Amino acid sequence: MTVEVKNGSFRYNSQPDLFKNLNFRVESGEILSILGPNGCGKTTLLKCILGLLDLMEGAIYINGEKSEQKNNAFHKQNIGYVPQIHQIPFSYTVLEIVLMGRARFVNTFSVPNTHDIEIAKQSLQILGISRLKDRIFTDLSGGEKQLVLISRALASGTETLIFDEPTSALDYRNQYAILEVMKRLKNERKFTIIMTTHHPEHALNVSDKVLLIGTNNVIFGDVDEALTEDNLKSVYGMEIKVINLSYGEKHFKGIFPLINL
Amino acid sequence: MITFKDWKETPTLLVVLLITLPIFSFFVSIAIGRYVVQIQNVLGILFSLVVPIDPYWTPTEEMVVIKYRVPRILLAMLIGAGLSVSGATFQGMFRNPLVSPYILGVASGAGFGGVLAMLLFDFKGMIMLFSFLFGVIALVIAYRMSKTGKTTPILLLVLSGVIVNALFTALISLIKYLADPLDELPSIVFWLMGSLASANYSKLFTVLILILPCICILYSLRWRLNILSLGDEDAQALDCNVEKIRWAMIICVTLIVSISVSVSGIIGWVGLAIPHIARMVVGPDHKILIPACISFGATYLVFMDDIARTLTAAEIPLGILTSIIGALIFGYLLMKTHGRGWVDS
Repeated sequence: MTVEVKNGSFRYNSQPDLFKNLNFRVESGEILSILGPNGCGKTTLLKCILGLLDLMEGAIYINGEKSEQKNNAFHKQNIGYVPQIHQIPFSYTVLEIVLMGRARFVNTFSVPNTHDIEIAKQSLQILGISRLKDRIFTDLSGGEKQLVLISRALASGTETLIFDEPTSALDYRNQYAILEVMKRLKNERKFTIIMTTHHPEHALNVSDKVLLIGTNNVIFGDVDEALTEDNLKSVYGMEIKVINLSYGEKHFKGIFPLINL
Repeated sequence: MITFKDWKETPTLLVVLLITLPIFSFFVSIAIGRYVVQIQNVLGILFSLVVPIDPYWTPTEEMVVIKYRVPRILLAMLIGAGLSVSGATFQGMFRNPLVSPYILGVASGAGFGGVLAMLLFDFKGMIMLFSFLFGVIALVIAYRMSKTGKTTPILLLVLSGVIVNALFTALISLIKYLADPLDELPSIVFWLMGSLASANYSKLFTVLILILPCICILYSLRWRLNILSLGDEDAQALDCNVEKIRWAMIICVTLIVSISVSVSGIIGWVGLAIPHIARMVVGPDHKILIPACISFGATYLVFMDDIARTLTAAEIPLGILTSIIGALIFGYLLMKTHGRGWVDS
């Protein structure tokens, strides 16, 4: 599924523009990372793509089809959303949480049937977390919670996933576990993935395209072309080095902020 | 104590329990009272309504059962179920354990309408009409106050409800102050405490056609409540009809609360405590919690009403009993289960 934004701009009520003249296009089976300083409108852009908010100007095209507020429903049928890990006040089990991903397919006045339960179980299986099925969601570790939320999005039968800072609350190992899952979904299942992140090196590791939203500029392009030292500096307003490292036979590319406190 | 995990392994047992509990309480409650009717006579009288049976009971017993107890007990069950389901719905929707169905000010609005009618009119029917109308007006005010642009943020709605609640509570006090202290004031105070003593078939009929459909709607939307309980953003991303569903639920709760206040005054604590008690027993999944609330709520209020009409010669106001006993049961379970079903408790 392709996602394209043309000349998108957004502002909240009478506040100044959050972003303006935003253009990008993600092809089927690609991963796009959206980067930018706090408050640049990353999450707002995700909400616009999901159809929860409307662009002030410009348009969003899903599979080439223009989407307007009227057919918000269209968006939600096609895009799965993986939110940031947040507190849920009730102690639902993992299976109950994943089942909620089936909401689009369950009649409003009905409850999930055995088919829905089967799909929820399969979604857990895809990510290898079937063992968590009966655990209480809020008792899980951050990494496990994130995997459950991805399972929930998978249960909605989508091929396009939107992640809002999927690695922000996780330790090193779990950050890469989640990135690996994203890469697997892309490679094995041809998923289109859009994620926001505060880690340029994560973008470097998994994405095909990047969108950098700065205060005065927007940069979009292939990951190698767009994630340059100059571009990162213009967006974050600080010196950031892109470094190449060889370790044994392998070559690594890293991003390193020049901080000396 | 049985935990909700055990219920998942034995769902049939739970269904049987949830169905038998209110049926059992119905028959027992008809038998007990200041005037005791033997259970076999109760069964005879009730079955004689369907199949012809030669009476082996006295005409007085038949009159007590048919004319007084049946409508009163059914009324108690419907109101108990309605308030509990409303409480569970609001606690889930507002994601807050402190919420009762009265949070949006509907009960105070309905209470004000009721006492205003008592002050202005002699006709009892006006009390029902006024309290129903003012209950709905209270919601409309809360809604108008919280509406920003196209949406109604949930936090603003609750805050507006608190304001409306305060306003109508103050207006009730004003009416109490203005009322004749010898005649009107006692009846106002009594009415506000809640009672089912004035139950009759016309009230039962009103409740049946207005509250029962709302309970059925809330029951059928029970799984959607799980989704609403995740919070606005998550819920909207999962289901595009969230806003409509939320308003359908709010309107159902408003109808249930305003009708039940108009019929029986303000019966406190049922809508707060029963959902908690049910959650501690069956867990937080609203798919099971809502039917549990219907069953427990109906059973609870009918037993409270039994105590209200049996314990002393003069009836104890129902609202007092539901609060005292509700607080005791709730407190006990809270200590036993440490607030199972909620996180951070």
